[in-house]
Amino acid sequence: MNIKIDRDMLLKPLSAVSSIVERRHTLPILSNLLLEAKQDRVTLTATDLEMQISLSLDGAPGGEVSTTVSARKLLDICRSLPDQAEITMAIQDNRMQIRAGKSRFNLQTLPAADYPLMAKAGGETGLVLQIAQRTLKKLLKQVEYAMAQQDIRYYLNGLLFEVNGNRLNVVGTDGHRLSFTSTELSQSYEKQEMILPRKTVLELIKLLEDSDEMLTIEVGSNQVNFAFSGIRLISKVIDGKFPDYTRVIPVGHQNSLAVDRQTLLLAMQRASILSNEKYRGIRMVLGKDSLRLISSNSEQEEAEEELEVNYNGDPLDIGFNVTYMIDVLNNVDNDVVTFSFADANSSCLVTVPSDSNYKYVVMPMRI
Amino acid sequence: MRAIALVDCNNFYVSCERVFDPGLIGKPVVVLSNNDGCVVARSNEVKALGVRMGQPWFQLQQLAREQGIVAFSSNYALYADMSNRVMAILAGFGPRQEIYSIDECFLDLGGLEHRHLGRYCQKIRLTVRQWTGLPVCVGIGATKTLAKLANHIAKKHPSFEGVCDLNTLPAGQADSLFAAMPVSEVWGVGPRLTPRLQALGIRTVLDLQRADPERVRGRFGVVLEKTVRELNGTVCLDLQSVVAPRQQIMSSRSFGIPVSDLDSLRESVTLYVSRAAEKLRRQGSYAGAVQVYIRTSPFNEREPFYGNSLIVPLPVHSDDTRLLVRAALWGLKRIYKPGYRYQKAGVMLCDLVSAKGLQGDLFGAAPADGKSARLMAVLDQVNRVMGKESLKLASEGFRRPWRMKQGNRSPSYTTRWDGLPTVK
Repeated sequence: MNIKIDRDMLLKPLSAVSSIVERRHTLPILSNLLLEAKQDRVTLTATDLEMQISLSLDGAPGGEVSTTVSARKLLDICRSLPDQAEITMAIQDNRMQIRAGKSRFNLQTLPAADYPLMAKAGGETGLVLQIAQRTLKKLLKQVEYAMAQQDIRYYLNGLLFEVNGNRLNVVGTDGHRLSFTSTELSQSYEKQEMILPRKTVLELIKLLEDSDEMLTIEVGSNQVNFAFSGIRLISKVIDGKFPDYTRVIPVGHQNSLAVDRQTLLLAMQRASILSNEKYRGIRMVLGKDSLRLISSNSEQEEAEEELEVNYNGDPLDIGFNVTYMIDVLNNVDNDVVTFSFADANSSCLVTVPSDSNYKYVVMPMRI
Repeated sequence: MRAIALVDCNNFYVSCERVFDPGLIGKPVVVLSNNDGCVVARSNEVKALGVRMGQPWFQLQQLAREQGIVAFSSNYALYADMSNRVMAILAGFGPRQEIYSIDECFLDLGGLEHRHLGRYCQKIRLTVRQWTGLPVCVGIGATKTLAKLANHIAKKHPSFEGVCDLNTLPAGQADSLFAAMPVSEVWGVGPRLTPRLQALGIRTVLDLQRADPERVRGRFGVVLEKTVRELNGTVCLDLQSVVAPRQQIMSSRSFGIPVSDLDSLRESVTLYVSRAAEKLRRQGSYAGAVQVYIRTSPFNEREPFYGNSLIVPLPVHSDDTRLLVRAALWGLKRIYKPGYRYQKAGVMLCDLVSAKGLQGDLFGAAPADGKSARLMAVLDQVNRVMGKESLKLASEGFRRPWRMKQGNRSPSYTTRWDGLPTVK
């Protein structure tokens, strides 16, 4: 039985689902993806047991078939075939033959029945949200870089989604800095929260398009489903309690400073060259209408940047991990960024005038 | 040409024991590793008997009886104190010093060339001998690698009277000395590199000195290329007079008797963390993770082997013994398996940062939580003034039946009042 499909139609969906296939897998079948043909649709599915992506595309299957085949090899073959090649996949017994022009590949398959599909949670769904793809993508990109990575506080290795009334709040933190953003929903809901794992967040950002097309989020008890543009993404959620972020977002920091984002970013990047390789520390020294950035490394080399700014607050000498500052300056899309301080031992609040929903909090570093 | 000296104490641990027990001079003496396992220092008399470095002590029982070998358990308090005295003396003999290990240091003799360096180094030997009782040898070369070799020559050839200055040696003499030394004597050429070099016909120090640095780099990498250049007098490795703070702090011991129960392991792990945390605070660092490990004896063939370790990351960097202990015990519980007879446990504090670079945490206590810092300062101060373990966590245990064997440890002559030697 054969499936005929254009190489160009297959390539993008194939790389989208393949990206979650782990290189080091426990079960051999996890390096495969599930290929199902039915009527005029071909569906590709990949999973790492924590999340699963399915994608449907138009094909011309000559019947019904389902099998699994190595994701990496199929992708490599597709990628290296010429544009506009027409691919024919013939499946027989436990082999798949791929033909395109004068190329021919024989791949091993494993039975589709053995593929560990994540079942869509049955029973009542807790919450169904509708949101534009573009909006969700923006929210995720605003906060994703503050998520923890392999932290023992496992509940920090993801983003908090919190629905409260008609607001959706999204929060990421690694304990050193925290990013918060929020958007308005079309209707009101009871307060509810879930933690979306780091890998799912990063995959979603890749898959989401800058379009106004709506996306549906269904939150179940231990999993969440995203459906958009022919893609269905199922992910486990992190079972844990996210820390109370509201108490660490400071209010009433008096010493404020508005700076040109690009100027400060470039200055930070230059100063970071000579910051300590391990701690990445940088001093922000604030005086009347002046901001100096000072860094030094273990070889006693030093860098200093001076910026003319409008500042009337208390003189301040405060240290930060420069990476955390560069992260926020890289990820907000506004010309001006506002920094608010209390003193050298308290956190710093970063905001942007154009988006009052966005907040970034960084703890200082002793320097 | 630079003049770099390597000063090295002869048979350091044995020499320390002999200082306070002169009756041992001329007798075969060894110092054993922790738990009296194997030989870690040998007097010349023992070397002459063919006893190898690292040889297990139980293999030597008969020889020891026949030859009257005197064996000491290691007394690190004594060796460390004697080492500090030697290093302090040597610091006065050169503008720059790099303390390379407990018994050797490099001295930059730059600016002293107008003196006769051979005589100058004899004065160094005499001073150390007179002030501490310890014998040392000095090797001088244009680079650290050459100084190491010079020191080796000074030790092995009595005609040099303990000082060898390669810079003033006639070229022919240096060549014939290098031709007689196997390439494995070169600093940085270990047992793995030696056979690979030999396969290329590089068998002696002279062979390596004459090897083409470019070719050596191609085959072995930049590290050995540096060695070759150093052998030819180009300084590639300079003196490191500032001691970088340790990147990890380790504390581990073998048990005196095998231990099976979790409680005893908990006691020992708590004790080791306390020791390591003391060192951590002394160098002003904070740990980001604690590694704990346990294992049964790898030499016991009658029982199954089990060994495991776990790194427990901390949410915030800390120097608080209590927090570090909690993390280590959490890890211990996860790797402990009942039914095994454990022979060794250990902990390592890793991901160390200094106070500079301490990142504040949004959800935890402030890093400089004043209370914890004050408590730890008091703990350390009490133990410094009143003696080790005057104040300790009760979970370190009191009886400690698992304690390491130290059958024949000499008194702490220089660091404890009750260890002071008396002259009758």
